[in-house]
Amino acid sequence: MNEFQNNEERLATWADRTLKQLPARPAPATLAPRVLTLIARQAASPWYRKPWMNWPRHLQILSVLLFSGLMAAVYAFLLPQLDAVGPAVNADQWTQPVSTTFGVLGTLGNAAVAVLRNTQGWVLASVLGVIATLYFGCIGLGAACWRIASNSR
Amino acid sequence: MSDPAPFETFVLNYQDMVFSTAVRLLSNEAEAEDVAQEAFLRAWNHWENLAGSPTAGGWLKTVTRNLCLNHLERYRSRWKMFTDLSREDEDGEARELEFAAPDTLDQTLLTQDQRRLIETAIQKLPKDQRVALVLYHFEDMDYADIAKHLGVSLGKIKTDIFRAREALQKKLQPARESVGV
Repeated sequence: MNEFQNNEERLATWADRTLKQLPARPAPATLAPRVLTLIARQAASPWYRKPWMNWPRHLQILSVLLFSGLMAAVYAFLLPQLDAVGPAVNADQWTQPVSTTFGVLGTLGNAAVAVLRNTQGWVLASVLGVIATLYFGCIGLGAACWRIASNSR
Repeated sequence: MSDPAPFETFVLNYQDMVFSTAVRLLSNEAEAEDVAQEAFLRAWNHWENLAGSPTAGGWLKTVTRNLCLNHLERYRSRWKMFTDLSREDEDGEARELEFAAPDTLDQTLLTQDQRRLIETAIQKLPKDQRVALVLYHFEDMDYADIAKHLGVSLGKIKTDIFRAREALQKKLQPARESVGV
């Protein structure tokens, strides 16, 4: 075993022995009252305000049955009505927002290409420079705000 | 639900352990208190299984540790650059820390001032080094487990822990000499 490994092991032993001697940090006096108050508030709140996992068992079962019934009703009544309108019309209805979005994006893309083709290089470089300056300005401002907020705690 | 009286005793018995784990991992007392509160609320939601269980303390410690790691992952990674900057700025500040009375004979080896110095030094370590060091020495996790939990390589964990120990050694030379190494 070389000297470096010996030193590393001695350092590890020292660190372990020193750190293991540290006693627990006492919790703030506010912690236990905070927890107990929250639990009391949670217990006093009605079942429907609690997470589903904490609902009474019979209500959990009832809610699952109701939800299943609702889904069955949707399947039984809504889907046949959509089929009656016709599959082609349905497909158009569902895809219309998507095709509109692609249409808008395509138009914007074409406009951007036209602008780039008809703009002088230095103008483009200046615009990109302004955008970069604003972007890094935002990061700098964010960093300053974060540091002020961190120091005030 | 259950009777809250035994749970109150449970909170009082374990609050120091939970808070210590959280504050050492997060290096922030307000955030540590929030995490400790969340850990106890989870314990309350599982109280039917935990009440009287000999593994309740271990369960609570694991939940606290995982909450801290999630918290660090969620809230700190995007601000890594800024927190590291501010941490460097805080190097000169000495924070007042409190400690519970030592419960074993071994703990008398370190004086109150030395304990304060060590805790402060841990808090001032860079986040990656601090978390790895705390998980190894306080949470008794091995290198591979830490690497898996943090999603980084084994080599990085070993380097971080080594550097953290070195940094502690440099900052605590007087304390080190007084404990005889």
